[in-house]
Amino acid sequence: MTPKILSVDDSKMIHMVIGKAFKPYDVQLFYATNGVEGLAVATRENPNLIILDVTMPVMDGVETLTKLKSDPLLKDIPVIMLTAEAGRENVVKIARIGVRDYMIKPFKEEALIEKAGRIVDLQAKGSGAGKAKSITDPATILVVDDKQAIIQQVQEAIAEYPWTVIGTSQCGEAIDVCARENPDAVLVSLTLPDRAAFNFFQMIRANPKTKSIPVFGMCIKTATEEQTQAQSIGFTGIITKPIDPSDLNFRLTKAMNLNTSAKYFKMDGATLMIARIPNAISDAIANEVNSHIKPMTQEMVESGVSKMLIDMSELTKIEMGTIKLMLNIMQNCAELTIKYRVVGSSEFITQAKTFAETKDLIIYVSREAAKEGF
Amino acid sequence: MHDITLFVRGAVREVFSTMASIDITCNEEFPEIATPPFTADGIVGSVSVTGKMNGVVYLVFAPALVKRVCNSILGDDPSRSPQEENDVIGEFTNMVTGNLKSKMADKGFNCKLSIPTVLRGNPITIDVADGNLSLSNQFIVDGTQDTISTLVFAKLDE
Repeated sequence: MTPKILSVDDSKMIHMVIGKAFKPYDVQLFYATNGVEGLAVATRENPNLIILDVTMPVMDGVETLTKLKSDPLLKDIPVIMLTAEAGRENVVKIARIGVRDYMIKPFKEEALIEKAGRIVDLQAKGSGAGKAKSITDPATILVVDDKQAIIQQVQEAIAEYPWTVIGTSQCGEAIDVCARENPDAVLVSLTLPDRAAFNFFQMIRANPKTKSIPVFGMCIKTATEEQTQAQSIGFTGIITKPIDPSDLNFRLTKAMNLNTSAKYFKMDGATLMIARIPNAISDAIANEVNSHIKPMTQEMVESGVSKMLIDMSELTKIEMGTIKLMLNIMQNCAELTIKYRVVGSSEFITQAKTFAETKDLIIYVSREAAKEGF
Repeated sequence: MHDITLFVRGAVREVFSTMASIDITCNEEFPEIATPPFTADGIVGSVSVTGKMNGVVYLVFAPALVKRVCNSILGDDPSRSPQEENDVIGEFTNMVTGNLKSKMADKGFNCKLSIPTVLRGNPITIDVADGNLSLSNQFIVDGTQDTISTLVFAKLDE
């Protein structure tokens, strides 16, 4: 999948320099001129890398970074900080908040590419290596933990995907697995004896073949020292134990840059698309579904698919976030002249009548009923 | 020669060379001690400094040099807007002052920087209300008559 890179800087000159630097590579660039805009674009686009200036009006880079790191949806996005101030105090301050790397202005384009290339997989344009990987594609997850139960928990958490888990308790073996299998993501316990996880991480990053593999550290919530240390040396993120399956899935798919649209959108025959909205939708999931709506509806029109069935029948409780999501799908369909129908349980239908936005909406009780005469 | 003069000289040369691939040479005959008020013709970028060092750093660009720098970074454009030029001058001033700030912090003079401001006028008079240092430099772009001057009006909290 083409990496998304967001540049947050108040200077158009810096945006142009960054644009020029990445021009030979297959990347999607986004720009924002201050921290507020940057956070909005980051939430919408979920970039793989943010290049963030320090000195900006409205919201500066340090405040933006602090907000990024405190947002569960954005905290794992690697950040390269751009600063004109090379002083130790400044560098220590931004390192503490959790940047992957920093660049001192003035900088050479090649230096930026070198640093970005350590974080995202930069492929030359036209090389064809940027093909989108989907959540339905096979992937390999390496889990390094001396507790067999944790490896099993990871296996169970990702059981719905065609992913293979390789478990090991030894970092030495894990290094061999990385070299041999080139896994799509690694989870390693931060509390292995002799700081093994940290040494393992540095070896992974030092090897050109494995340097881009997302590596998550695992520990209990209260192991703050290990978490801080892992963040400061550039771990992709921290997974706290006990493992929350939906959080793990969400963060793995994000880190592996997988297209997750297949989780929510599925073809039924040649002309009907089903959009499935899961129950108890979190902000993270709502954002994920929202990010797929526009490209998915555009793709439908281009492929001659003219009907959408919005399936809300899994929902037991209707909330404002769900309504907004449904309205967004309906609006995108209407703009592209895609016909749509909504399916919901009788409970959902009753609750929908209490919202101004949905009180007049016709909701079908089953997919079969909705398909009739559609 | 004052440390600030040395730091500014290094910073200006580095910024021009790295960002615009333009080599400049310091005019050694230009007086290091500026006598305010200073009259500038052209476009001026400024950044204020507050903390253990208080003052303002100015970069005075000859108009022809602004075009040369912008063309080098942004590509040739005969009808470039003044806003784009201001952006480049502001960013250059920010980089030079940021570099100076780091060097001064290493010497114990920690300070904070403002967002850059760009002034245009012919002439512009720059004066100082309160300060014990008025330092200037002039640089010439190699092979041309284009110049860039720097002014640092500052007070060090020693």
